[in-house]
Amino acid sequence: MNKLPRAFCSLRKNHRFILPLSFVPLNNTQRVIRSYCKNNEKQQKEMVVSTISSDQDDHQYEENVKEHILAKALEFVPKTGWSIESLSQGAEAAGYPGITHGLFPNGGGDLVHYFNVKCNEQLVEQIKSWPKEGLKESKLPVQLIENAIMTRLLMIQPYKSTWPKAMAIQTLPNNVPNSLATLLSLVDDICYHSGDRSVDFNWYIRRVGLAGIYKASELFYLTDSSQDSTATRNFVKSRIRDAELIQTALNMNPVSVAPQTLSAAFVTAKNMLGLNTLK
Amino acid sequence: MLRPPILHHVRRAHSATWKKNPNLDKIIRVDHAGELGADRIYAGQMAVLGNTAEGPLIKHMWDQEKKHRQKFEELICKYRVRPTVMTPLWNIAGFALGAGTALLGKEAAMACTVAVETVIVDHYNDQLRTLMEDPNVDKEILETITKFRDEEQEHHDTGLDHGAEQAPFYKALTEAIKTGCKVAIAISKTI
Repeated sequence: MNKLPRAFCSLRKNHRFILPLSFVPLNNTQRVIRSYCKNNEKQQKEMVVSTISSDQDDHQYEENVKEHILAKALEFVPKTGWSIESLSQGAEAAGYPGITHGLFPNGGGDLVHYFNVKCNEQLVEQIKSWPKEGLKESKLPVQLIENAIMTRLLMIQPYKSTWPKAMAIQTLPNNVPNSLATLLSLVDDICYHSGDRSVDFNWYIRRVGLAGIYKASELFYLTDSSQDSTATRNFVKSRIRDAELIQTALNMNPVSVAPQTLSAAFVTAKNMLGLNTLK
Repeated sequence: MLRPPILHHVRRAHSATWKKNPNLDKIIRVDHAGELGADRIYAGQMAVLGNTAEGPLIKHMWDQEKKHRQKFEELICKYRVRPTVMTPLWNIAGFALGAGTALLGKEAAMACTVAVETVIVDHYNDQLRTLMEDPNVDKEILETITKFRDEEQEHHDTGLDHGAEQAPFYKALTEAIKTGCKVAIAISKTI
C-alpha cells in the first residue's frame, strides 16, 4: 500500500488521514475530510465548520438511506426471505453497493422491525378513518377490534410463506426489545382508537389481553388456507367473545354469584374424580 | 436500556409534545400515582375519623385531592401516558396508611398528613425546577403543578395547626412515612 508512508507521516503531524483508508463514504463530512487531506492546512477551518453544523443532518441523512434500502428490500423478501440477501439486493436496487447491508447490525431482524412499524402506521391511518359511533366505555367495541386485528393480519399476506421465519427472528434476544415495542405500540393504538381511556390497572389488562388475542390469531393465520381468511376471522371472533366473557365474570359481584361459582366448582371436581354419572 | 426503544414508537404519536419535554410521561405518571395515594390516604382517615370533630376538615382536604387526581387522569388521557402498574397496590397501601394512622388518634392522622404533604411539596418543587429549565415549557403543566403544590402546602400547614406534633412518636412516625413516600415516588417514576 503506497498510502502507508503518508499515513505514518500524518500520525506524527496529527492529521486525520487514517480514516479514508478504511471508511465507506456514506455522508458529506467524510468527503470533506478526505478532500482536506489531499490539500493542506488551508482547508482546516472549512472542515471544522462543516463537521460541527451537520450532526443532526447526518443522522437524518443516514435514516433516510436506511429507510430507502429497507423499502426496496421488502420486494425481494418473498424470494430470499427476511435475511441479509434481501437487504443487499434491496441496497443494490436503491443504488448503493451490496455491502451496505452492514448498516443493519440485526440483519433480517431490522427488516422485520421496519415492516412491523410500517404496518402499524398504516393500521393507525385506517382506524382513524373508520366510523366510531356507538363506542361505550363498558362494552367492548367488538366489531372495531375484530376489523383492526383482521386488517393488520391481512397486511402480512404478501409475505405469508416467509412469515414463520420472521416470527422466529423476532424471538431472537437482540430483536426482542424491538418486537415488544412494536407489539405494545400496536395494541396501544388499537385500544386508544377504539375508545379506551382507562387510567388504572385496566390499562394493562386490556392491552395484555389484546396482545394475547393478536399473537394467537397471527399463529392461526399462518396455517389458514380458507377462502378470504374467513377461518381466521372466526377465530378472532371467538377469542374476542372469550375476552368478553372474562370481563363479565370479573365484573360480577362475588357475593351474588357465590352459589353458582360453588356449584360449578363442585361439578368440576366430581368430573375430575370420575364421580359424575351422566344419565 | 430497555426503556427507550419500547416507548419510542408509542411516543411518535405525540412527537411534538415529547420534543418539548421528553420526561413528560414520567412526570404525569408519578404525579398521578401521588394524587391517587393521597386520595386513598384521606379516604382511610375519613373512614375512621369521619364522625369526629376533625371530619369536615379531612373531608375538605379529601375533596381537593380528588380534584387533583381527576386533573392528572385527564392529562393521562390527553398525552396517552402509561399509568403506573402499581395502581392497585398504592390503592390498598394508601387506604391502610390513612386508616392505620387514624386509629392511632387524630394527632397521628394529622402527623401522617404533614409527612406526606412535606414529601409531595418537595417533589413538586423539584419537578417545577426541572420544567422551568426548559425555555419553551408547556404552560398548562407548569400552572397545574404550581397550583397543586400551593394546595398541598396548605394541607401541610393545616396538619401542623391541628396538633400533628402532639402525635405519639411524632419524629419516628413522620420519618417512616416520608421514607415510604419517597420509595413509592421512585418506583412510580419508572414502572
